Amino acid sequence: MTTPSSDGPADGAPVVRGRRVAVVGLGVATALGFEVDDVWRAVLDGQSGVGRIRQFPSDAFPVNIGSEVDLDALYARLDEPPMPVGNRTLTFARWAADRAWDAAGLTEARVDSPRAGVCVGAGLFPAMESRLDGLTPAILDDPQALVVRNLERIRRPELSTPQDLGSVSTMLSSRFGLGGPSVTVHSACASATQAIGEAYQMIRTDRADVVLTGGADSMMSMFCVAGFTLLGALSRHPDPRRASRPFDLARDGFVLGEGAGIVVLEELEHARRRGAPILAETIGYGSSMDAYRFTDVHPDGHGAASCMRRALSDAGIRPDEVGYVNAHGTSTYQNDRVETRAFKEIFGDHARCLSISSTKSQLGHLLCAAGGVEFIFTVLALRDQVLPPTINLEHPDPECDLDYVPNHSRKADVGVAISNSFGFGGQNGTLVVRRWDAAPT
Amino acid sequence: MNRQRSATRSNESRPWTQRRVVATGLGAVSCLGLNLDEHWRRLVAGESGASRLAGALAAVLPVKLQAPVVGLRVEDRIRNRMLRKLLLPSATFAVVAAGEALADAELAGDDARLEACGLYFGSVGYEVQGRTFEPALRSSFGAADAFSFARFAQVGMQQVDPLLIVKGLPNAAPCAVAIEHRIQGANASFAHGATAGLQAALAAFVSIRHGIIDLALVGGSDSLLLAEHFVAHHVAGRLLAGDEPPWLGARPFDARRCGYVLGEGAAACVLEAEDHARARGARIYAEILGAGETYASPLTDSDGRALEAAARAAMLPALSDRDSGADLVFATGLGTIDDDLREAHGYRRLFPPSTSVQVTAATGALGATGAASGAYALVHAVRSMVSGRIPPTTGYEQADPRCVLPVVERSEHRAISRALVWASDGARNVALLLGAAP
Repeated sequence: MTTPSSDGPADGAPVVRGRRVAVVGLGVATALGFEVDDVWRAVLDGQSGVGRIRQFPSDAFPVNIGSEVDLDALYARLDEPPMPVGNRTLTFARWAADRAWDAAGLTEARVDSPRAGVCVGAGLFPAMESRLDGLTPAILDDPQALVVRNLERIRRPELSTPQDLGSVSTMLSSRFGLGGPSVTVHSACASATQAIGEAYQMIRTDRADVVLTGGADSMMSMFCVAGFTLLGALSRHPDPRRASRPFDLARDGFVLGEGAGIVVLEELEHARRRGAPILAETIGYGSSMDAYRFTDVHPDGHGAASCMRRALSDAGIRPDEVGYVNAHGTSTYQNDRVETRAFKEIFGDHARCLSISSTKSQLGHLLCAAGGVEFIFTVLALRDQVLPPTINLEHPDPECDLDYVPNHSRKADVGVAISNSFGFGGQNGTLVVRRWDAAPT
Repeated sequence: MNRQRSATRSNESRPWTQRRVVATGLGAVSCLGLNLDEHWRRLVAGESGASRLAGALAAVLPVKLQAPVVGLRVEDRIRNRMLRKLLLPSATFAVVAAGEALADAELAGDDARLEACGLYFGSVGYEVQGRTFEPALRSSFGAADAFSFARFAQVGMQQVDPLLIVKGLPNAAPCAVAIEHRIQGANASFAHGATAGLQAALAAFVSIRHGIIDLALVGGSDSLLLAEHFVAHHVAGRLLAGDEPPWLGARPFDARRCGYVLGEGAAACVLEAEDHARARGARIYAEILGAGETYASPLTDSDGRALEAAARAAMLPALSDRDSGADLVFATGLGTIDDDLREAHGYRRLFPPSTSVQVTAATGALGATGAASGAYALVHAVRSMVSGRIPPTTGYEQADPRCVLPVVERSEHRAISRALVWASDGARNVALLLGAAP
């Protein structure tokens, strides 16, 4: 009789690693900039990307701070005209994917199209701001007038905003001519991490050789800010730059962010053959579900612990081999305590030796893009052997009593790192990454 | 023990040991029925669940039909009271179909196994009705009836449902399934439209086959009955206009096809490793033999080459010992001119003119069901293999000379040893090959 296991296949099942997966290209679009090295330097310097929201007139809103991408500055860098629909998520994804593809040395390379794919986490929540011009109470009171207005909007590309999440992977597959899998993942705040995890599975199980993955999102709109505010999820700190304060006793919620973090994963031998710039190796992935509530993580942290345990098991490494964790670390009261509890469960005594940081302290919560940007920081921490700080950590919460790399970056000697993401609804993901110059040949 | 073993594993590349993957449970809720038996009975009878659309949409648009799920009482099918209040239609359908599939696989309430059970689901995009925003907007007009952001911030936003974002998220369906059925295993939710349900099955199939997981619930759910969808699909010229009888979801591959009716629903299937299924004494319905997935820009693939490539990859395990690879194709058959032509071209590239491989499609019965459509096709294929009953292509009557296919016109009794299931949205193509239970 097979015994069910929460950690993977049952005993007796084949457990084989499959193909190895390299990280070969990175691209970002964030409030701290549009070039990976610039953003990385700013994160290490402890800069904050948080300010007043400018996307809509936000002055009167009870919460009006966010980590907002300077879209004008981004458009100034694009060598193509702005997308007619002006959709922020698609623009961020396009920019970051271009940078990642180019950094991977793939712009000039020949890629076997059917063996290359897209697996991207994305959000496209409908932004109502573009639908307000000319709206009157009389129109709202007339259902037929609303349909007519809707018709007119959809017929005019400059007003029409796509809500089809497939449009993100479609855009990327078409842009780079990739004929393999074309997938949009949506698991709320775990989207990008789960997308990278699924991309890793695509390569290791021989469904593809090259996958463009990561995440892009923007919920910087009035209804989203209102919804998150009413949920009590957003920080109301008066100083924008000090508002995102993961693991700090005075933390009072997350800061809404937006942007994209896109990476290129490639089968290791494929990457070696073409002389690709290998930055790190992805060696494990685990996912789990809380199966608890839509808006709350389970207080005992079993979902967070399960995905970390599965990821380490998948990577075939012991917990004490992990040197750095890029935490989900949202700066909410509940998440940071629960995640800390899960660290202690998984790492035991080694939890005290771990370096943990939350780069949401600099960039806020990029939602579906968060795991993409944070995976990039995890790769860069391994590449440069320097750990990004958790800024604004001034008064540690006694319940969050581990080493969160407070306020200043730190040199380190780290061989393996993990990146966590936990989504609304209870979907969780953990990625395991190994320093490339420490990887077996 | 499992952990100790994995801790000593090498990270060197090695070939996978492949496991056989089988289907052991099925569930569905649709415009045809609130459970799989009712749905199947009406499907094989050639019925359609299309009905008349009323209200402002029908008054303004030439679209007069829809294919809604009717009569579902959540208090009878969903235990969790919070979910009953919270869930929007697509997540509700997902929970119901998932519950039926788990019960059919004799896994309902088996908490130990469900804790490790994977959950791979294709779901709707944001399920947010425009009218959701209306109370807040109505309270936010200032002088001269102009919208005021300040007034929205002070008054209007208090009318916003705090759970608006959470319950409308594309992953609401799998999360609700997990909460209701206590599933805690590996998971992924795909949200890229009509191929997402079958994509979910493909991802789970690969993970089980390679020993990453033992067991998974897969499926898809969607509700396209939102004003935004009606308008967008109408503007794209894809919706069937008028309401002349017979009311159909579409006329797949028919000479008179002119679009589809929007629908909703969910279908779910339990997949597991054969050894896992046998160890727990599960009834095995069918085996998943192969899978393929491709992408091509719709502008460049009108001849169905990418669909052909996905199907050929799925049939690779069968092509080695059989000429045709499959006995029957469960196709998409949206009932639009171009989509059906592309599928027909793809089919013709796969199978020679003399082939006896027939094609059936359910859009005529169910309408366009988005992310649920591929999951329905999978469930239909498994059910056909078990029952020897092939559902007809409801709505098909006259062959299109440009689109000649051996379409299943009437329900047939016939043993099927291999069924090819595909889902195609014009760009993404996903295919699975099913075989009889080993």
